[in-house]
Amino acid sequence: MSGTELYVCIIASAVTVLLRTLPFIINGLLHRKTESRFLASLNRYLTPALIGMLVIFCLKDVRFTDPTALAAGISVAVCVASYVWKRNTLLSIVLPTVLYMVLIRVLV
Amino acid sequence: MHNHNEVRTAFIKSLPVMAGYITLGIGFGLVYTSSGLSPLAAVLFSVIVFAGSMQYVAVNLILASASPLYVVFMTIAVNLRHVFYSISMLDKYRDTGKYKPYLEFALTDETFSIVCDGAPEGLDAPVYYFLLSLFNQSYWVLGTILGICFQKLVDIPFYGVEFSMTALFVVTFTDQILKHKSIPASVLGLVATLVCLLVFGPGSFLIPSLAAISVAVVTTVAVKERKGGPDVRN
Repeated sequence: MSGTELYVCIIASAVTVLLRTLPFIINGLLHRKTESRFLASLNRYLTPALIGMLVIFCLKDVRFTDPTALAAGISVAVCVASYVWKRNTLLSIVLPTVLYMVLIRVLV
Repeated sequence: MHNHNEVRTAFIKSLPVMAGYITLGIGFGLVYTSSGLSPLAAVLFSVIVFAGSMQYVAVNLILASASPLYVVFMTIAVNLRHVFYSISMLDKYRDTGKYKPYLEFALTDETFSIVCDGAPEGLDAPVYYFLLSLFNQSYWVLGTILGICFQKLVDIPFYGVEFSMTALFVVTFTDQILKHKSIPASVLGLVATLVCLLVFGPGSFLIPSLAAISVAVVTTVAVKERKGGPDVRN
């Protein structure tokens, strides 16, 4: 285990724990009984927006001039189409992943 | 066994997560070790971080020797949504006593999607929440170990398997569109990030994206609150 692996792991753990526990800590300090309406609305918009952000984040290294862009495009399309069709999370993760692995070997 | 009903119910409720976590855990174990990194560290990640997408991102951070500050920012960017799961669980997790620290630690996307419905009637709620969270993390750790074993035993180059993370988010995104959960917000997140990526490049687009999304969302919410109208959909 390298030093880099260790500090990335420890920082990622500490920050994640902090994010997950912060609302409980603040709530404990404030003795608040219910979540505020503002936070509830914030949650409703922020979470979907962040998922949208994560989709782009995953595809950030795709270059349009690269053959892998075609593989990624086809696999994302299959992912969406299969989910719309079957609504099965597992199927829509495994199928496009296997397809992507095949395509990058065939196309490149 | 004292809590037979809690064990059985928590196990049954955890079954859909089992399939997903073992698969994604295998993916993580494979990606991590086939990048030439330590199997022990892969298991450590699944035990003390226990955040699927962040663990995949961490592989890139390690390979790029990212600075500690950048790791902090990335973790916040990728895991910020967990703050909101915790806010939603404030009431249900209030009186969980000795289980509370672990429940807070293990509140992942998948666990949240099950516990947000509350505990079934007649069960010891804290024990049920605890077992459910523990089962889910066991699948994740088990998947990671299986992934490491596959990488060691099977001589197949597994590059490309990291696409499972992309697929996970695309599925989540598609699902929230299909369920009409804040379609404008979903599209905003996607488009704002795409614009930031094109403007700032792959190395530094995440923080501007997060800032743009926060400003847009907080402004929208503040305007709607001021209008005071019932804000049921979008």
